[in-house]
Amino acid sequence: MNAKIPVDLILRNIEESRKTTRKKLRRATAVLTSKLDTDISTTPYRIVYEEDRVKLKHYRPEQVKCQTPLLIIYALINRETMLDLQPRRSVVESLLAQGVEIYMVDWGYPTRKDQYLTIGDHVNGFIANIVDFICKEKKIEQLNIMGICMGGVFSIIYTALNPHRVKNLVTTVTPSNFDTDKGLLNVWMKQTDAQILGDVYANMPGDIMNLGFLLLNPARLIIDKYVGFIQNIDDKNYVENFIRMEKWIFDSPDVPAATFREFIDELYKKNLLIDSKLVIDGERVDLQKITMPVLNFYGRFDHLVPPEMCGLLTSRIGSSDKEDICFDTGHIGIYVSSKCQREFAPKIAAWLLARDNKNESLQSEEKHGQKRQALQALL
Amino acid sequence: MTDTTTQSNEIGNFVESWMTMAKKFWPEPGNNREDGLGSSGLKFDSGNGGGQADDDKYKTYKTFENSINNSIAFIKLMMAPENRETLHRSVAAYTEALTESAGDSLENFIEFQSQAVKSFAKVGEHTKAYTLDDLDHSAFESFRELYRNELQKYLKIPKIGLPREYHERMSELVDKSTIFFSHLIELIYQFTTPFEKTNRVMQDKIKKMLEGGEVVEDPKQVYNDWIKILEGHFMDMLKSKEYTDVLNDTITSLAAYKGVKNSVTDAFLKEMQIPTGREMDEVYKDIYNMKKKIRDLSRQVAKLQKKQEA
Repeated sequence: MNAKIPVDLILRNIEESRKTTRKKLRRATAVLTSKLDTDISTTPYRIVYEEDRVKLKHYRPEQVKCQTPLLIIYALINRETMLDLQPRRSVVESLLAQGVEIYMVDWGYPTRKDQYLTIGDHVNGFIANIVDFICKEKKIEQLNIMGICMGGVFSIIYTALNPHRVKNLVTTVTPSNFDTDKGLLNVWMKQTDAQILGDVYANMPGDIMNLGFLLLNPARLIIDKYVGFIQNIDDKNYVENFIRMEKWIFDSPDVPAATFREFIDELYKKNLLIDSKLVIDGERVDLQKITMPVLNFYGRFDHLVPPEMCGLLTSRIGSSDKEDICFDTGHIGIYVSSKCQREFAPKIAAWLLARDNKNESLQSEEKHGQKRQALQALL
Repeated sequence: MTDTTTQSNEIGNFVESWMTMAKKFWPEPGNNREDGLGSSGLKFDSGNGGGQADDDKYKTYKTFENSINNSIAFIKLMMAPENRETLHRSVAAYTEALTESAGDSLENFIEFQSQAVKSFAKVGEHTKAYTLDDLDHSAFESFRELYRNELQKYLKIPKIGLPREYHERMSELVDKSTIFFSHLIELIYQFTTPFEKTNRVMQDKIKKMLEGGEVVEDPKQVYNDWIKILEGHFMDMLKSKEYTDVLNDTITSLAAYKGVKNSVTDAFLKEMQIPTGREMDEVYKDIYNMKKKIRDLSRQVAKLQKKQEA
């Protein structure tokens, strides 16, 4: 027999929810029509170098504590503005506060004319020119490099090909081992011919890639995310943060067709990087040549670049000073979540400072030793 | 038995009187005009000979008149008693061929329809949660089969004449777009199945609750359950080989469609004296190669300069 349903309770709930919704709607209208602060990338910087579509941003801290500047190389997918999403939630701001001088690559928006640019053109062209520029400007021989996702792959390749130019290497959510079936992106890239889209569209359209990323978890990214937005639509702070994130996510430059094809064929399908078999512009990328200190970050819940794709790097490089750090977060959370904000940038700064000072004291000891020897020889 | 002679005579008379009417249609409005054109003799003999319209200025009418006369002569010849039997047989054979051809197509169409009905009926059947084995690919494949067997061949008919290349491109565009959209619709259909499965799970859950006298007090909790189950169903679908296959078919057919679309666009751009995508790509390729060469040479120069300085 069916149990009795408390109809009066249901009706009361409906009435209460109607009243709440009405109030919420009024507040939401007030919030959405008010002046919202949704600007991203607000930390001041100067453009110090330009080459074609590529620009180099320079952020100078109030007090430079780390003598070696840090060059941040972002991915070609989405934009580097994610590292400076909003005040108090900004990797850039945090690193500057720790006294790290930053140079950051802004890859710009590739157009049809950029379709032939390969990984080699990005690494041996743009990145090599930028490193030379910074070294010349700062009168230094080496700098620190931090790579993000695909930019991390570029950083690894550049470092292996030019180890004398890199003092310390930081890789974050960087895929290096593609021999895994973890993560849908891995499965799709291997089992489909997605690279042909890049060829017919001249470049791989950012919108198509974004659609692909949304389809990695449609329930959360297409439905739940916006349900969450509606539920908090009367909270100005929430709305502002949400819009900032939307601005960043859907600001997707196209990826040059040749790079896109190479990335899928040589890395996703053949997994050449981790085995030191990747050849760029005729030169083999030998991971054993990476002998400088390496700090490797990744996220335990990263569905785009799962830990299996990141963790193997440190065991294949030639360096003895290396560290893996796995945060309990996802691909983007590592840069924007409050918890990671407290740990991620400060850890990088401390790690760089420790090696900066160490090297400096080693160098100064070396100089003193040379001076002592010279004096002794004179005496 | 049907009297074919009487029938042919009736058809012949009908066609002949229609032809005569058609012949009179053009000159007669001209005769009724009161201006110079009407009175200047814009008419010609509707009989078999006649040459009132032999002036150069009425050559259109003359051509028209000759065509009509020839057609009438041809029909008369066909209707002659000695040709009637042959004509009748030919008409019968032609009708038979048409009927057979239509029959084949109809048969194929009915086959497709029956498969489609079966397949779509499956959609309404109870689908097990978290299993994607019953994703119905056959309905879409049936359509593609029908298209490949019955329609594609007409688009592939060799094109002739001056505009053959344009016709060929347009046919190819229609062909590739049909294939692409069939895969796209299948892909979209796949995305509806997790919703269907989730709703079924939730309906069962709510039914059990109601039977136990429980009421949904917190709609948020129901939503959270729903989205969690939906996420699970999506994950299973997105990982499945069926989905990856359909995704790959959609990607490859999109690339083929886009390729032909580009070539059609290029043809229009060329007509308008605007550089085509292909032409611009050639220029870009040259610029790219030149830049690369300049970069390499600059580095070599810098190296040499350094060496010299040292």
